[in-house]
Amino acid sequence: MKQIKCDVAIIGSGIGGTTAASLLLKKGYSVQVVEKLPFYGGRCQTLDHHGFRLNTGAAMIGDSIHGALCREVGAELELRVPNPVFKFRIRGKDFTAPPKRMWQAIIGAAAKDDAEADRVFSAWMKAITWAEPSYSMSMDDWARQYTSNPLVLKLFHFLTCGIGVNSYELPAGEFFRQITQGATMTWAYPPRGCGQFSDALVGAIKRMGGDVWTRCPAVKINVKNGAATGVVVQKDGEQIEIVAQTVISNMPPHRTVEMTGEECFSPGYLKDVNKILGSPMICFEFMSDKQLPSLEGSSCYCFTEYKRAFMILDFTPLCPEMSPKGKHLLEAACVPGSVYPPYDIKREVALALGDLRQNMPDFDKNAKLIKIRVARGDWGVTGNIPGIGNLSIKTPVYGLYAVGDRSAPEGWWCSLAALKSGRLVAEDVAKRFKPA
Amino acid sequence: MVVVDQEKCIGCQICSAFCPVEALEGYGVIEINRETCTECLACVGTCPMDAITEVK
Repeated sequence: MKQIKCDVAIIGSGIGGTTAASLLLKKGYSVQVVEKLPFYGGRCQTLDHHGFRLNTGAAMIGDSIHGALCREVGAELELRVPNPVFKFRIRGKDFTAPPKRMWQAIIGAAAKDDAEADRVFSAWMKAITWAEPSYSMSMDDWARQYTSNPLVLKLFHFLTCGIGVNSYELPAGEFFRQITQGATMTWAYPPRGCGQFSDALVGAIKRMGGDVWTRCPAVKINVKNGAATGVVVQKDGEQIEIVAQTVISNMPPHRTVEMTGEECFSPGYLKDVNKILGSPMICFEFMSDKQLPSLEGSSCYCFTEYKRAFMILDFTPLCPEMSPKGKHLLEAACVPGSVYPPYDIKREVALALGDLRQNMPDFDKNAKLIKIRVARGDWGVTGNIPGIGNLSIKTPVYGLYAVGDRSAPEGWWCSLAALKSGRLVAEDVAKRFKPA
Repeated sequence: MVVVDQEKCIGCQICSAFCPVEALEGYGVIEINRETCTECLACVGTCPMDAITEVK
Protein backbone atom coordinates (compact mmCIF):
# COMPACT_ATOMS: atom_id res chain seq x y z
CA MET A 1 0.00 0.00 0.00
CA LYS A 2 1.23 3.48 -0.86
CA GLN A 3 2.29 5.43 2.24
CA ILE A 4 2.69 9.08 3.06
CA LYS A 5 3.95 10.46 6.36
CA CYS A 6 2.88 13.54 8.30
CA ASP A 7 2.66 14.68 11.91
CA VAL A 8 -1.12 14.94 12.04
CA ALA A 9 -3.81 13.17 10.00
CA ILE A 10 -7.27 14.72 10.21
CA ILE A 11 -10.43 12.90 9.09
CA GLY A 12 -13.17 15.34 8.15
CA SER A 13 -12.93 18.96 7.09
CA GLY A 14 -15.69 20.41 9.28
CA ILE A 15 -14.96 23.42 11.44
CA GLY A 16 -13.32 21.25 14.13
CA GLY A 17 -10.97 19.59 11.65
CA THR A 18 -10.00 22.72 9.75
CA THR A 19 -9.56 24.75 12.96
CA ALA A 20 -7.17 22.15 14.37
CA ALA A 21 -5.41 21.83 10.99
CA SER A 22 -4.81 25.55 10.55
CA LEU A 23 -3.62 26.10 14.14
CA LEU A 24 -1.27 23.09 14.04
CA LEU A 25 0.20 24.12 10.67
CA LYS A 26 0.88 27.53 12.17
CA LYS A 27 2.75 25.81 15.00
CA GLY A 28 4.96 23.96 12.49
CA TYR A 29 3.27 20.55 12.21
CA SER A 30 2.76 18.83 8.88
CA VAL A 31 -0.95 18.12 8.39
CA GLN A 32 -3.05 16.10 5.94
CA VAL A 33 -6.84 16.48 6.03
CA VAL A 34 -9.11 13.98 4.26
CA GLU A 35 -12.79 14.60 3.45
CA LYS A 36 -15.19 12.00 2.02
CA LEU A 37 -17.56 14.58 0.49
CA PRO A 38 -16.82 16.57 -2.69
CA PHE A 39 -16.71 19.83 -0.69
CA TYR A 40 -15.07 20.90 2.53
CA GLY A 41 -16.62 22.44 5.63
CA GLY A 42 -19.28 19.82 6.42
CA ARG A 43 -22.18 21.63 8.06
CA CYS A 44 -20.44 24.94 7.36
CA GLN A 45 -20.48 25.11 3.57
CA THR A 46 -22.68 26.85 1.03
CA LEU A 47 -23.83 25.08 -2.14
CA ASP A 48 -25.29 26.58 -5.28
CA HIS A 49 -28.91 25.71 -6.12
CA HIS A 50 -29.67 27.49 -9.44
CA GLY A 51 -28.00 30.70 -8.37
CA PHE A 52 -29.25 30.59 -4.78
CA ARG A 53 -26.52 30.01 -2.21
CA LEU A 54 -27.88 27.57 0.39
CA ASN A 55 -25.91 26.83 3.54
CA THR A 56 -25.43 23.18 4.49
CA GLY A 57 -25.76 24.16 8.16
CA ALA A 58 -24.56 27.33 9.90
CA ALA A 59 -26.34 30.46 8.66
CA MET A 60 -24.42 33.04 10.71
CA ILE A 61 -21.01 33.01 12.34
CA GLY A 62 -19.28 35.14 14.95
CA ASP A 63 -16.70 37.80 14.21
CA SER A 64 -15.14 37.44 17.65
CA ILE A 65 -14.84 33.64 17.29
CA HIS A 66 -14.64 32.65 13.62
CA GLY A 67 -13.31 35.98 12.38
CA ALA A 68 -10.66 35.96 15.13
CA LEU A 69 -9.45 32.49 14.09
CA CYS A 70 -9.15 33.61 10.46
CA ARG A 71 -7.08 36.62 11.50
CA GLU A 72 -4.89 34.39 13.67
CA VAL A 73 -4.06 31.89 10.92
CA GLY A 74 -3.93 34.36 8.03
CA ALA A 75 -7.21 33.34 6.39
CA GLU A 76 -8.93 36.10 4.47
CA LEU A 77 -12.62 36.42 5.29
CA GLU A 78 -15.05 39.27 4.80
CA LEU A 79 -17.86 39.48 7.34
CA ARG A 80 -20.90 41.73 7.22
CA VAL A 81 -22.56 42.62 10.49
CA PRO A 82 -26.35 43.08 10.45
CA ASN A 83 -27.73 46.13 12.18
CA PRO A 84 -30.13 45.68 13.81
CA VAL A 85 -29.66 41.95 14.33
CA PHE A 86 -33.19 41.07 15.43
CA LYS A 87 -36.73 42.29 14.94
CA PHE A 88 -39.41 40.60 17.07
CA ARG A 89 -43.11 40.26 16.42
CA ILE A 90 -44.84 40.69 19.76
CA ARG A 91 -48.66 40.88 20.08
CA GLY A 92 -48.93 41.42 16.33
CA LYS A 93 -46.59 44.43 16.33
CA ASP A 94 -42.92 44.77 15.40
CA PHE A 95 -40.32 45.42 18.06
CA THR A 96 -36.76 46.14 16.93
CA ALA A 97 -34.26 44.98 19.52
CA PRO A 98 -31.78 47.67 20.56
CA PRO A 99 -28.09 46.67 20.35
CA LYS A 100 -27.52 47.40 24.04
CA ARG A 101 -29.49 45.80 26.87
CA MET A 102 -31.19 43.83 24.11
CA TRP A 103 -32.72 41.02 26.18
CA GLN A 104 -33.91 43.38 28.91
CA ALA A 105 -35.76 45.34 26.25
CA ILE A 106 -37.22 42.25 24.60
CA ILE A 107 -38.38 40.72 27.90
CA GLY A 108 -39.85 44.11 28.77
CA ALA A 109 -41.78 44.21 25.50
CA ALA A 110 -43.20 40.70 26.02
CA ALA A 111 -44.07 41.11 29.72
CA LYS A 112 -47.54 42.30 30.66
CA ASP A 113 -46.24 44.90 33.14
CA ASP A 114 -43.02 46.29 34.65
CA ALA A 115 -43.24 44.06 37.73
CA GLU A 116 -43.22 40.94 35.58
CA ALA A 117 -40.39 42.27 33.40
CA ASP A 118 -38.30 43.12 36.50
CA ARG A 119 -38.96 39.72 38.09
CA VAL A 120 -37.90 37.79 34.99
CA PHE A 121 -34.95 40.00 34.11
CA SER A 122 -33.60 39.99 37.69
CA ALA A 123 -33.69 36.19 37.67
CA TRP A 124 -31.99 36.24 34.24
CA MET A 125 -29.20 38.51 35.49
CA LYS A 126 -28.72 36.45 38.65
CA ALA A 127 -28.38 33.30 36.55
CA ILE A 128 -25.76 35.00 34.37
CA THR A 129 -23.75 36.93 36.96
CA TRP A 130 -24.08 34.79 40.10
CA ALA A 131 -24.82 31.10 39.61
CA GLU A 132 -26.33 29.24 36.70
CA PRO A 133 -29.48 27.25 37.51
CA SER A 134 -29.49 23.48 37.89
CA TYR A 135 -29.01 21.09 35.01
CA SER A 136 -31.83 19.07 36.62
CA MET A 137 -34.55 21.47 35.52
CA SER A 138 -35.51 22.48 32.02
CA MET A 139 -35.28 26.03 30.76
CA ASP A 140 -39.08 26.12 30.59
CA ASP A 141 -39.36 25.02 34.26
CA TRP A 142 -36.84 27.72 35.18
CA ALA A 143 -38.86 30.43 33.42
CA ARG A 144 -42.16 29.25 34.94
CA GLN A 145 -40.80 30.11 38.40
CA TYR A 146 -41.06 33.77 37.43
CA THR A 147 -43.87 34.02 34.90
CA SER A 148 -46.84 32.20 33.41
CA ASN A 149 -47.11 34.68 30.55
CA PRO A 150 -47.15 32.57 27.34
CA LEU A 151 -45.35 35.30 25.38
CA VAL A 152 -42.41 35.43 27.78
CA LEU A 153 -42.28 31.62 27.98
CA LYS A 154 -42.28 31.52 24.18
CA LEU A 155 -39.47 34.06 24.10
CA PHE A 156 -37.31 31.61 26.04
CA HIS A 157 -38.45 28.84 23.70
CA PHE A 158 -37.33 31.02 20.79
CA LEU A 159 -33.92 31.45 22.40
CA THR A 160 -33.39 27.74 22.95
CA CYS A 161 -34.61 26.96 19.41
CA GLY A 162 -31.74 29.16 18.24
CA ILE A 163 -29.41 26.51 19.62
CA GLY A 164 -31.50 23.66 18.21
CA VAL A 165 -33.59 22.46 21.14
CA ASN A 166 -36.96 23.11 22.80
CA SER A 167 -36.99 25.05 26.09
CA TYR A 168 -38.74 22.13 27.79
CA GLU A 169 -35.96 19.77 26.69
CA LEU A 170 -32.90 21.91 27.50
CA PRO A 171 -31.33 21.96 30.98
CA ALA A 172 -31.55 25.51 32.36
CA GLY A 173 -27.90 25.36 33.44
CA GLU A 174 -26.77 24.57 29.90
CA PHE A 175 -28.76 27.47 28.48
CA PHE A 176 -27.17 30.00 30.78
CA ARG A 177 -23.68 28.63 30.18
CA GLN A 178 -24.24 29.11 26.48
CA ILE A 179 -25.64 32.61 26.94
CA THR A 180 -22.60 33.56 29.02
CA GLN A 181 -20.16 32.15 26.41
CA GLY A 182 -21.91 33.84 23.52
CA ALA A 183 -22.80 37.10 25.24
CA THR A 184 -20.02 39.10 23.63
CA MET A 185 -20.49 37.59 20.17
CA THR A 186 -20.97 39.80 17.18
CA TRP A 187 -23.00 37.75 14.72
CA ALA A 188 -22.12 38.24 11.08
CA TYR A 189 -22.65 36.87 7.58
CA PRO A 190 -19.93 36.08 5.03
CA PRO A 191 -21.28 37.67 1.79
CA ARG A 192 -21.59 34.39 -0.15
CA GLY A 193 -22.63 32.18 2.75
CA CYS A 194 -20.94 30.53 5.71
CA GLY A 195 -19.03 28.23 3.38
CA GLN A 196 -16.69 31.15 2.79
CA PHE A 197 -15.39 30.63 6.31
CA SER A 198 -14.48 27.00 5.54
CA ASP A 199 -13.04 28.02 2.17
CA ALA A 200 -10.92 30.71 3.86
CA LEU A 201 -9.55 28.23 6.41
CA VAL A 202 -8.75 25.67 3.72
CA GLY A 203 -7.02 28.42 1.73
CA ALA A 204 -4.86 29.19 4.77
CA ILE A 205 -4.18 25.47 5.34
CA LYS A 206 -2.91 25.11 1.77
CA ARG A 207 -0.82 28.29 1.96
CA MET A 208 0.89 26.92 5.09
CA GLY A 209 1.82 23.69 3.29
CA GLY A 210 -1.07 21.47 4.41
CA ASP A 211 -3.59 19.85 2.12
CA VAL A 212 -7.25 18.80 2.11
CA TRP A 213 -8.21 15.86 -0.10
CA THR A 214 -11.91 15.76 -0.99
CA ARG A 215 -13.80 12.62 -2.17
CA CYS A 216 -11.34 10.77 0.03
CA PRO A 217 -13.11 8.65 2.68
CA ALA A 218 -11.12 7.16 5.54
CA VAL A 219 -11.56 3.40 5.77
CA LYS A 220 -9.48 2.51 8.84
CA ILE A 221 -7.77 4.17 11.77
CA ASN A 222 -4.61 2.25 12.58
CA VAL A 223 -3.74 1.53 16.22
CA LYS A 224 -0.69 -0.22 17.64
CA ASN A 225 -0.21 -0.94 21.36
CA GLY A 226 -3.11 1.34 22.27
CA ALA A 227 -1.81 4.32 20.30
CA ALA A 228 -2.93 5.74 16.95
CA THR A 229 -0.42 5.25 14.15
CA GLY A 230 -2.29 6.62 11.14
CA VAL A 231 -5.25 6.35 8.79
CA VAL A 232 -5.98 4.33 5.67
CA VAL A 233 -7.93 6.30 3.07
CA GLN A 234 -9.48 5.58 -0.30
CA LYS A 235 -8.23 8.04 -2.92
CA ASP A 236 -8.75 7.86 -6.68
CA GLY A 237 -9.51 4.13 -6.55
CA GLU A 238 -6.54 3.10 -4.43
CA GLN A 239 -5.87 2.81 -0.72
CA ILE A 240 -3.22 5.03 0.83
CA GLU A 241 -1.88 4.81 4.38
CA ILE A 242 -1.26 8.14 6.05
CA VAL A 243 1.27 7.41 8.78
CA ALA A 244 0.91 9.91 11.63
CA GLN A 245 1.58 10.02 15.37
CA THR A 246 -1.60 12.02 15.89
CA VAL A 247 -5.02 11.31 14.33
CA ILE A 248 -7.86 13.77 14.72
CA SER A 249 -11.37 12.60 13.89
CA ASN A 250 -14.01 15.12 12.87
CA MET A 251 -16.43 12.25 12.18
CA PRO A 252 -19.45 11.32 14.29
CA PRO A 253 -18.04 9.34 17.25
CA HIS A 254 -19.72 6.05 16.27
CA ARG A 255 -17.95 6.25 12.91
CA THR A 256 -14.61 6.81 14.66
CA VAL A 257 -15.28 3.69 16.76
CA GLU A 258 -16.32 1.61 13.73
CA MET A 259 -13.21 2.67 11.82
CA THR A 260 -10.85 1.98 14.71
CA GLY A 261 -12.43 -1.18 16.12
CA GLU A 262 -14.61 -1.41 19.24
CA GLU A 263 -11.95 -3.43 21.03
CA CYS A 264 -9.76 -0.29 21.23
CA PHE A 265 -12.27 1.56 23.44
CA SER A 266 -13.46 1.08 27.02
CA PRO A 267 -17.05 -0.12 27.63
CA GLY A 268 -17.82 3.21 29.36
CA TYR A 269 -16.65 5.22 26.37
CA LEU A 270 -18.74 3.09 24.02
CA LYS A 271 -21.80 3.75 26.21
CA ASP A 272 -21.12 7.50 26.03
CA VAL A 273 -20.75 7.30 22.24
CA ASN A 274 -24.12 5.56 21.95
CA LYS A 275 -25.81 8.43 23.80
CA ILE A 276 -24.68 11.03 21.25
CA LEU A 277 -27.64 12.22 19.16
CA GLY A 278 -27.79 15.14 16.73
CA SER A 279 -30.57 17.74 17.16
CA PRO A 280 -33.11 18.03 14.38
CA MET A 281 -34.02 21.24 12.59
CA ILE A 282 -36.03 21.87 9.45
CA CYS A 283 -34.93 24.81 7.31
CA PHE A 284 -37.18 26.31 4.66
CA GLU A 285 -35.51 28.17 1.81
CA PHE A 286 -37.74 30.68 0.00
CA MET A 287 -37.28 33.23 -2.73
CA SER A 288 -39.17 36.42 -3.41
CA ASP A 289 -38.98 39.08 -6.12
CA LYS A 290 -38.91 41.89 -3.58
CA GLN A 291 -38.32 42.34 0.10
CA LEU A 292 -41.27 41.10 2.14
CA PRO A 293 -42.81 44.14 3.86
CA SER A 294 -42.79 42.11 7.12
CA LEU A 295 -39.02 41.85 6.96
CA GLU A 296 -38.33 45.49 6.26
CA GLY A 297 -35.65 46.93 8.52
CA SER A 298 -34.17 43.66 9.72
CA SER A 299 -32.28 40.62 8.50
CA CYS A 300 -33.82 38.38 11.15
CA TYR A 301 -37.54 38.42 12.01
CA CYS A 302 -38.33 36.52 15.21
CA PHE A 303 -41.72 35.25 16.38
CA THR A 304 -43.24 34.91 19.85
CA GLU A 305 -46.47 33.21 18.72
CA TYR A 306 -45.77 30.02 16.79
CA LYS A 307 -46.02 26.27 16.95
CA ARG A 308 -42.78 25.41 15.12
CA ALA A 309 -41.21 28.09 12.87
CA PHE A 310 -39.54 30.54 15.21
CA MET A 311 -37.77 32.92 12.84
CA ILE A 312 -37.02 33.87 9.28
CA LEU A 313 -33.85 35.40 7.85
CA ASP A 314 -33.59 37.57 4.76
CA PHE A 315 -30.00 37.30 3.52
CA THR A 316 -30.43 39.66 0.59
CA PRO A 317 -30.35 43.21 2.00
CA LEU A 318 -26.93 42.56 3.55
CA CYS A 319 -25.68 39.82 1.21
CA PRO A 320 -27.19 40.16 -2.29
CA GLU A 321 -24.47 37.74 -3.46
CA MET A 322 -26.54 34.89 -1.94
CA SER A 323 -29.19 34.99 -4.69
CA PRO A 324 -29.58 35.78 -8.42
CA LYS A 325 -29.81 39.48 -9.17
CA GLY A 326 -33.07 41.02 -8.07
CA LYS A 327 -34.20 37.99 -6.04
CA HIS A 328 -34.39 37.70 -2.28
CA LEU A 329 -33.27 34.57 -0.42
CA LEU A 330 -35.17 33.84 2.80
CA GLU A 331 -34.60 31.06 5.32
CA ALA A 332 -37.05 30.02 8.04
CA ALA A 333 -36.21 27.52 10.77
CA CYS A 334 -38.28 25.03 12.77
CA VAL A 335 -37.39 22.76 15.68
CA PRO A 336 -39.68 19.67 15.85
CA GLY A 337 -41.99 19.35 18.87
CA SER A 338 -39.49 16.94 20.38
CA VAL A 339 -35.82 16.77 19.49
CA TYR A 340 -35.92 13.01 20.13
CA PRO A 341 -36.97 10.64 17.32
CA PRO A 342 -39.18 9.55 15.68
CA TYR A 343 -39.93 12.74 13.75
CA ASP A 344 -43.09 13.29 11.72
CA ILE A 345 -41.50 15.59 9.13
CA LYS A 346 -44.71 16.14 7.11
CA ARG A 347 -46.62 17.28 10.21
CA GLU A 348 -43.72 19.50 11.34
CA VAL A 349 -43.55 21.12 7.91
CA ALA A 350 -47.31 21.80 7.86
CA LEU A 351 -47.17 23.41 11.32
CA ALA A 352 -44.16 25.54 10.40
CA LEU A 353 -45.73 26.81 7.16
CA GLY A 354 -48.83 27.71 9.20
CA ASP A 355 -46.65 29.78 11.53
CA LEU A 356 -45.11 31.71 8.65
CA ARG A 357 -48.55 32.52 7.21
CA GLN A 358 -49.86 33.58 10.61
CA ASN A 359 -46.93 35.85 11.43
CA MET A 360 -46.45 37.35 7.95
CA PRO A 361 -49.69 38.25 6.19
CA ASP A 362 -47.73 39.01 3.00
CA PHE A 363 -45.99 35.63 2.99
CA ASP A 364 -48.04 33.46 0.62
CA LYS A 365 -48.43 36.24 -1.89
CA ASN A 366 -44.71 36.96 -2.19
CA ALA A 367 -42.61 33.99 -1.12
CA LYS A 368 -41.97 30.86 -3.18
CA LEU A 369 -40.53 27.71 -1.63
CA ILE A 370 -37.18 26.56 -3.06
CA LYS A 371 -36.13 23.73 -0.73
CA ILE A 372 -36.96 22.11 2.58
CA ARG A 373 -33.73 20.96 4.21
CA VAL A 374 -33.79 18.61 7.18
CA ALA A 375 -30.91 18.30 9.63
CA ARG A 376 -30.97 15.37 12.04
CA GLY A 377 -28.91 12.44 13.33
CA ASP A 378 -25.26 12.54 12.29
CA TRP A 379 -26.07 15.60 10.20
CA GLY A 380 -27.99 17.37 12.97
CA VAL A 381 -28.12 21.12 13.43
CA THR A 382 -25.96 20.36 16.45
CA GLY A 383 -23.98 17.13 16.47
CA ASN A 384 -25.31 16.35 19.94
CA ILE A 385 -28.46 17.59 21.69
CA PRO A 386 -27.27 20.45 23.92
CA GLY A 387 -27.07 19.56 27.59
CA ILE A 388 -27.11 15.75 27.31
CA GLY A 389 -23.34 15.45 27.72
CA ASN A 390 -20.58 15.73 25.13
CA LEU A 391 -17.51 13.55 24.77
CA SER A 392 -13.98 14.60 25.63
CA ILE A 393 -11.55 15.71 22.92
CA LYS A 394 -9.39 12.73 23.91
CA THR A 395 -10.52 9.19 23.11
CA PRO A 396 -9.25 6.14 25.05
CA VAL A 397 -6.78 5.55 22.18
CA TYR A 398 -3.56 7.49 22.78
CA GLY A 399 -3.00 10.10 20.06
CA LEU A 400 -6.57 9.77 18.71
CA TYR A 401 -8.53 12.97 19.26
CA ALA A 402 -12.15 13.85 18.51
CA VAL A 403 -13.11 17.31 17.26
CA GLY A 404 -16.46 18.79 16.33
CA ASP A 405 -19.36 20.17 18.33
CA ARG A 406 -19.84 16.78 20.02
CA SER A 407 -16.44 17.16 21.71
CA ALA A 408 -16.73 20.67 23.12
CA PRO A 409 -17.03 21.54 26.82
CA GLU A 410 -20.51 22.26 28.22
CA GLY A 411 -21.83 25.67 27.30
CA TRP A 412 -20.53 25.72 23.72
CA TRP A 413 -22.82 24.99 20.81
CA CYS A 414 -22.94 24.51 17.05
CA SER A 415 -20.15 26.13 15.06
CA LEU A 416 -18.75 27.86 18.16
CA ALA A 417 -18.41 24.47 19.83
CA ALA A 418 -16.77 22.91 16.77
CA LEU A 419 -14.22 25.71 16.64
CA LYS A 420 -13.57 25.50 20.39
CA SER A 421 -12.92 21.76 20.16
CA GLY A 422 -10.42 22.34 17.33
CA ARG A 423 -8.59 24.92 19.45
CA LEU A 424 -8.47 22.62 22.48
CA VAL A 425 -7.13 19.74 20.40
CA ALA A 426 -4.45 21.91 18.77
CA GLU A 427 -3.33 23.09 22.24
CA ASP A 428 -3.20 19.53 23.58
CA VAL A 429 -1.31 18.17 20.56
CA ALA A 430 1.26 20.97 20.93
CA LYS A 431 1.83 19.94 24.57
CA ARG A 432 2.30 16.23 23.87
CA PHE A 433 3.72 15.70 20.41
CA LYS A 434 6.67 17.37 18.71
CA PRO A 435 6.64 17.98 14.96
CA ALA A 436 8.98 15.58 13.10
CA MET B 1 -28.88 2.53 -11.39
CA VAL B 2 -28.64 5.06 -8.56
CA VAL B 3 -30.69 4.30 -5.44
CA VAL B 4 -31.44 6.27 -2.28
CA ASP B 5 -31.51 4.25 0.95
CA GLN B 6 -34.78 5.44 2.53
CA GLU B 7 -33.57 4.45 6.01
CA LYS B 8 -30.35 6.45 5.82
CA CYS B 9 -31.58 9.56 3.92
CA ILE B 10 -32.38 12.48 6.23
CA GLY B 11 -33.46 14.98 3.56
CA CYS B 12 -30.51 17.41 3.88
CA GLN B 13 -30.76 18.20 0.13
CA ILE B 14 -27.00 18.25 -0.41
CA CYS B 15 -27.25 15.71 -3.25
CA SER B 16 -29.75 17.95 -5.05
CA ALA B 17 -27.14 20.68 -5.38
CA PHE B 18 -25.04 18.30 -7.50
CA CYS B 19 -27.84 17.00 -9.76
CA PRO B 20 -27.71 18.73 -13.17
CA VAL B 21 -31.30 17.77 -14.10
CA GLU B 22 -33.23 18.25 -10.82
CA ALA B 23 -34.07 14.55 -10.58
CA LEU B 24 -33.71 14.46 -6.78
CA GLU B 25 -37.10 15.44 -5.44
CA GLY B 26 -39.13 15.75 -2.28
CA TYR B 27 -38.32 16.59 1.29
CA GLY B 28 -37.77 14.55 4.44
CA VAL B 29 -36.56 11.65 2.32
CA ILE B 30 -35.31 12.21 -1.23
CA GLU B 31 -36.79 10.33 -4.16
CA ILE B 32 -35.26 9.96 -7.61
CA ASN B 33 -37.44 10.93 -10.54
CA ARG B 34 -36.63 8.04 -12.88
CA GLU B 35 -37.93 9.86 -15.93
CA THR B 36 -35.62 12.83 -15.39
CA CYS B 37 -32.56 11.00 -14.00
CA THR B 38 -29.86 10.44 -16.63
CA GLU B 39 -27.77 8.12 -14.42
CA CYS B 40 -24.87 10.57 -14.69
CA LEU B 41 -23.80 9.54 -11.15
CA ALA B 42 -23.05 13.15 -10.13
CA CYS B 43 -24.92 12.57 -6.86
CA VAL B 44 -22.94 9.47 -5.87
CA GLY B 45 -20.45 10.35 -3.13
CA THR B 46 -22.20 13.61 -2.20
CA CYS B 47 -24.32 12.20 0.65
CA PRO B 48 -23.07 12.81 4.19
CA MET B 49 -25.13 9.82 5.35
CA ASP B 50 -23.88 7.49 2.58
CA ALA B 51 -27.50 6.99 1.49
CA ILE B 52 -26.86 7.20 -2.28
CA THR B 53 -25.26 4.29 -4.06
CA GLU B 54 -24.93 2.98 -7.57
CA VAL B 55 -26.43 -0.49 -7.98
CA LYS B 56 -25.25 -2.42 -11.01
